[in-house]
Amino acid sequence: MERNDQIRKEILFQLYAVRPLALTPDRIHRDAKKSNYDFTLREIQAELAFLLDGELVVKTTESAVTAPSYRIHALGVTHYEQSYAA
Amino acid sequence: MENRRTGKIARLSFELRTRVNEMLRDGAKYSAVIKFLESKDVFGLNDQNITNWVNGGYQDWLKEQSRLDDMKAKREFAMQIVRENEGSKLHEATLHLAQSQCYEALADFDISALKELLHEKPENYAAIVNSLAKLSKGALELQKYRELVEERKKKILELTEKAASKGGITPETLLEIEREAKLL
Repeated sequence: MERNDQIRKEILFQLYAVRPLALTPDRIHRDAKKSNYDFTLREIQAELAFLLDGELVVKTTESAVTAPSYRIHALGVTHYEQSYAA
Repeated sequence: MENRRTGKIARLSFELRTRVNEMLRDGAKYSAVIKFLESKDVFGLNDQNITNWVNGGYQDWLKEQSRLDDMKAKREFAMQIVRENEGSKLHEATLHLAQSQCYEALADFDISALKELLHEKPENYAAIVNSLAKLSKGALELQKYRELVEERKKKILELTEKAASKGGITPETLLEIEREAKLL
């Protein structure tokens, strides 16, 4: 599996696990690190943008005060189950 | 880097694969798994296929389930805390925002240790819930304010459009607009 595909898998996995709640890129990064992944925050943000373009995730908040967070879209749930789930 | 598994069981639908994994976890015999799949029109599997899956994909699933269960437990706890404290006053989007904030606070906890602590010392429950509810309060207040602003803006727009259609803003309409704006 390509590295960016691994990152997308990890992002979708985390968002799938906590749905319908949303996670910040920083939270995703920290939890990935706990599971021994070496993805950088920048990589995670880049792949979140990719998933957002593909409508697999939805951006839920953005303001001067609140960090942006993302939740999984229904399409993302299907994609995760079909492409990545064990 | 891991590649997607390509065996017979790996290629089953998510629903069937999940059911197979659950059966194996619950100690089902291989013959029972094969029989189940045949009942779903999946034929041609033998004990060796199941053994290969048990040693490979099933192990992946177990690791995944362990992580999923941990995250789900925290999610449920976060959702429960916010529901109990604020749930009746909020609509769904705001509720999810608060619950997400609460999840963020819980995410670094060892959830099973926390639950054990609360079981042994239930007097701590109120204090912890209170603290977590406060953490999500900031986000809630901001969201409520944003909703109020949107509501007031909509009202002001309605008033100005109504005034425009009648040929101008009357002193009464102006007073009403000022009142809405001052409430912001």
